[in-house]
Amino acid sequence: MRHLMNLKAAVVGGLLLGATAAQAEPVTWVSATGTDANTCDIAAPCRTLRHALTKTDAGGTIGIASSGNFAGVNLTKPVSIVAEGVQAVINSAAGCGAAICVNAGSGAVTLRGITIDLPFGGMPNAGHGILFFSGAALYVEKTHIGESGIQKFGIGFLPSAPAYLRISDTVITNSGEGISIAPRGGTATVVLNRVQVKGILHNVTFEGQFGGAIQATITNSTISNAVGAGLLVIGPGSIDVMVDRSNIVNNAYATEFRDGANNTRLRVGDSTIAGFDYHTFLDSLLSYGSNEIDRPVSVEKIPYK
Amino acid sequence: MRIAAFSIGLAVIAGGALATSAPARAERDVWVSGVGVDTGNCNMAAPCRSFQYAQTKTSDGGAIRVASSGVFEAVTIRKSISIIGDGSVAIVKGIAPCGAAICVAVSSTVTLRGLTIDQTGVPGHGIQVGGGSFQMENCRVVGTGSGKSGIAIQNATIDARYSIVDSTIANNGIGISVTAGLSLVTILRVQIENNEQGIVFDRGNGQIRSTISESVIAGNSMRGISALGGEPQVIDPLGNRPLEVMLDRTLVVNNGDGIVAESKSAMIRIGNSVVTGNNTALKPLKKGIIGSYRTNKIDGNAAGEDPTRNMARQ
Repeated sequence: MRHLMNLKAAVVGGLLLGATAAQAEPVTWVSATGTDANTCDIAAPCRTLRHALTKTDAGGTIGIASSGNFAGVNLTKPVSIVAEGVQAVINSAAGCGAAICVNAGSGAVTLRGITIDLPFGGMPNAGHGILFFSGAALYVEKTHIGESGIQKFGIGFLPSAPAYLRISDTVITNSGEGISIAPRGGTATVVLNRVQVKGILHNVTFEGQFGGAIQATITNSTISNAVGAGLLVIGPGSIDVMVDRSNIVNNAYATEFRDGANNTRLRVGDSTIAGFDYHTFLDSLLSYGSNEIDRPVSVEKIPYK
Repeated sequence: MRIAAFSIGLAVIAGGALATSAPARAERDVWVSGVGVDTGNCNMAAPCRSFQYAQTKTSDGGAIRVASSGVFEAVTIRKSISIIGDGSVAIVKGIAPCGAAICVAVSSTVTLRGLTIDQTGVPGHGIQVGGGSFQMENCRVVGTGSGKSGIAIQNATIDARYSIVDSTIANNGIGISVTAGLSLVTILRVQIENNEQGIVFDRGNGQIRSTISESVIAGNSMRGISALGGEPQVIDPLGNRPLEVMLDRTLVVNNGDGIVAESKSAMIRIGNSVVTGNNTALKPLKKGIIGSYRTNKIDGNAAGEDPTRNMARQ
């Protein structure tokens, strides 16, 4: 009997130990066959990103252990979500209005290898793909946003303090605005490398009117098929955009400048601008003289160095 | 018919007997998994748990392959082998005796592919390598602290050849450091971002040749690329210097200093590249040289947009 008591004590002790061990880990895992009662380790993955987030250290990673559909998540600390060799599909928005919101506060977040495809709900009701509000950096890699579904912003970058966004090897389609850079404060530093944006209304917008500055570089990318602008620059504000080795093609407006965007600099070299209906807005374009533009336009030449 | 069946039966017996009687010879390919166990020979049906154990079950020319996702402990590579994480989330974290998550301890031929080396919270380098032939593809090296390098190439004593391709190296003290030795370093389609320093070449008294192409060097708080080296300089009759770096179709953007040549023995050449948004675009110090092929977009920096010299394409 006393033995049994001791056993009970040991079991209770074990439970306590178990409770301590259930603290956050650097890496947790989710799977379509997991359950949120699990520990989220690789042998016992969880079901939801939202629950896994609570089990993950700041600076840590949620890995997708096997293919499946997942609900959206609001990243309230710097945690990355990565998938390799599986289909990791997010097709509902979290309460924050996007499939993935980044409210990390500080630190870097990587999103790699995932697909975001929200319901085909039509523009007024559609959610956003990714919304970034805070954190030091967001890296979006090998990600698809929009397949058959509709997003408002594919990616909205809206930080209130200096922050860095790099998107690479990523396809953004079926989004009202493919990428919207609209910082609320500080300088938003942006690199697009090997990105395809095929939006609905506008493809890539740079908005200075909310108080932030923008320094963006676009390279090896294709920006096509918008019924509005390929690149839309909305002032006032300090906006520098460098376009290198990219295609801005088959948009109604190749580039469009609005509202005091005269304090902005759009430099373009080694690029193709073709298939547009309107070209008057190209007047503010600074050209290295090395672009293929499919009709005569007025540009300001700047030299190579 | 009966003979055929009999023959097959014999063949099965013979084959089975041979297989079971084979000695515990090292397999060429061995397998690990996040749910594996470090026993046996690490075959695909019963993968092991750690790179270090799996290495003992393979031999020169073999590969450790990741069968399914997981976090893997640090490893010291002592053979000419590959570690291949393709198709899995393969995260490596920890410190092997050399002070990195992956130590390449011998002058060997090593390939790493499809791995994430994440040293967030761990006080070590990501990868340390010091000779031989090293190839890294489709990897991410992140989170080493101040003073630590994502990839530390150190003191290569022979004609060492390194290639880093299709990778991301971010949020480290130094992204890639190449120190002393005799090194040939090729960097292609690599994103080196938000480190304190992106790439540091410090030749000491050695010789370094490096080409960086189609890459992005961005947001590094102190310097994007810097080339340092011991004096006195040695310049051969063709004008080549002991530390030569070629940049082609590469972005150097939004760093503190973009490109720094800080030694008489250092020469950095730039072509078809973009240098923008840096505090100082080009910074030659101590008679270091930054040469331009006049094909670069160097605008929108706070200062230093003139190269030391212009060079003709030929």
